[in-house]
Amino acid sequence: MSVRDLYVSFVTEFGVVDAVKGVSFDLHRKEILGLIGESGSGKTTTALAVLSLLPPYARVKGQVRFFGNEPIDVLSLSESQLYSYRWAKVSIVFQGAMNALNPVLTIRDHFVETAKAHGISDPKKIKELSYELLKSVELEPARVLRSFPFELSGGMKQRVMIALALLLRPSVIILDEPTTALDTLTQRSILELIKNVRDQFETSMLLITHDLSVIADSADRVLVLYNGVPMEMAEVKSLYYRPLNPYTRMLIDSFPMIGKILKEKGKMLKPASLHGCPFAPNCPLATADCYGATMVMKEVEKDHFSSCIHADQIVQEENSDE
Amino acid sequence: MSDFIRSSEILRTENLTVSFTVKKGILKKAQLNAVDGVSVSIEGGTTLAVVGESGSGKTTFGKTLIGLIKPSAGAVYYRGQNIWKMDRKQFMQFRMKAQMIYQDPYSSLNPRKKVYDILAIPIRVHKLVDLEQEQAAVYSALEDVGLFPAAAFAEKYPFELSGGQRQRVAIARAMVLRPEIVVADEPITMLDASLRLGVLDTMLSLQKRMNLSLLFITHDLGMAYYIAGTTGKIAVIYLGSLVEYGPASEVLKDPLHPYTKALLSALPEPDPIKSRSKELMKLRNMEPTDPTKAPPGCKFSDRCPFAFERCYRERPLLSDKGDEKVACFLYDVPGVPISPEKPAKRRGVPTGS
Repeated sequence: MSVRDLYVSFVTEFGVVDAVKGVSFDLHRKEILGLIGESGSGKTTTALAVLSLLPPYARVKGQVRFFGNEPIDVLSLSESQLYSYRWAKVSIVFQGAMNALNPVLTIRDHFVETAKAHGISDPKKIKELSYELLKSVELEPARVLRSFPFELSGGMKQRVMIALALLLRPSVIILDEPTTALDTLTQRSILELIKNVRDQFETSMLLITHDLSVIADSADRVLVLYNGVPMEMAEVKSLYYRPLNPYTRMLIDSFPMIGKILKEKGKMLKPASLHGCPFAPNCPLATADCYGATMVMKEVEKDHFSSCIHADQIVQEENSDE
Repeated sequence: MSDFIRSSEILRTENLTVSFTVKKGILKKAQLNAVDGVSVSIEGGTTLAVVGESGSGKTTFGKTLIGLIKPSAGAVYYRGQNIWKMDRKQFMQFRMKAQMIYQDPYSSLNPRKKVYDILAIPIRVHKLVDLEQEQAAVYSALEDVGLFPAAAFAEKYPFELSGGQRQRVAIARAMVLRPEIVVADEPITMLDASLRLGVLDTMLSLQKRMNLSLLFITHDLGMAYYIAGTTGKIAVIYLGSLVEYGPASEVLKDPLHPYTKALLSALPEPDPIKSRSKELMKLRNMEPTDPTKAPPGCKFSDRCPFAFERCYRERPLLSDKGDEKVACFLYDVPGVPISPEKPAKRRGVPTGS
């Protein structure tokens, strides 16, 4: 699928808040695209726009297209058309698997309800599907189907959510912070599962996270967002080894890592700028131009996009270092 | 032994145990040792990082250490003195010297108090300084954590602050009493990536300047090492019991316990090449075990890929192995046999408080 020039703003009682400012990306078949950003960077809003799930007070501009048998212009679908698009073509595993399941329904009820809502009513078929999917997320179907959410651990609930997302065999699954609030060991096993699911079901995935290690482990390509603005997009290795936006570099530098030497003692970041580049107030390369810059992605190197107006300068420095 | 003070030891726990009664069904009650016979010691100015997954009892341990929870068995010694045998004055003094920073800065600050009062109230409770000096103490605590200008921040309410700023206020509140020991319970998990390092570094530089002893609670072994560094120690807690304990660099370089090895194999890694070349150690169950359903024998035996017959029968004790301590039969440590009639009870632990 492809997203072009997506703008989302929310009309609130305090005025208009721009949540997403000009995001574009393509999601290829069987690809895991990482969407990384801090809270308020617009990652979840982007995901909701892809599903056309934004609330009525949101103003959405731009284009979201889904390429199935025939291309679908998602943002112009009617409610009834959306019914056969959501979950069937694109499904989502919402953030906080612990709380996304209904506490008074068993896991079987969740499967039945979701299946019925999308027109699968044959109980035998539903049972067959749920057994198969729970097995593929490495759970014991018989036991899990009988259970209520509180009887399952956080990791198991996350697996159930992934199985439910697979129910209608969508070609795209959005995973919103799938490992947040899980223990390290569980986190890694969920990431392994995500990659297995991608291989087994040949789905494309939009992996939303704030955690660089999640991207490092699972994503093929990465889009970096900051304050709703796209900062950089590249294949995961070139992003890590050759970041072409100072914000990405800061994200990488601020990952607490073994053997890392502390550079700046307890320095605090200034709030993001609302005009031009949001990172300008904290950026070592910032000039007056940055505050007036229009933030558009440019292909600085092959398949490596950056919206930093000083990207060429960074490339030069990188090259002279080598 | 209890009154013996090692050279620079400031806090020590001996066989510390905290039991809770948990309801299982309508009539059934079970006893859960959230902290189960933990003995550690912290020296002045050093860091002890406590690593454990959710439900391992690491937060309960931290709270017990600074006297917020009374242990059901065992004791906490502050400068050689059992804190629960202190008189009121001594205990107040200890509580002033041992402070805590909580995980969630969104709920640990009173939303109806200004930052100034959040910091001034502990000063008044402990009668630390006179009223005239109070303002200076509050401002300097704010400046210490990087909140400039202090006078402006002092007049704000928590809702006016970002997550990182709130956590800095929480740190300032702990520091304003000039403590010797600070327990930090996952202080950066709720913060954004770009704020994390700043908050951590603020804590580390304060530690250096004030010669603080830091107990840092985390679920991330990498974070533990980052904080404990070359001089600190790491204690790995599994379902309330200490399974590995030693110098941070040793634990990380050569982890002994299978659980620590698994944690190391799951270490978050930002480098995509390294991350993809690493293999996750497969446990028999990747999910944490329900603390109320800990198996008899070694508590890790239901997940451990190396478990053998003895592990299901006996509970391993913590014993020396080089510079470290480990509780695992792979290193042939004599343990406590579990009698078949009473598989769950052992060592006659007193209940409740």
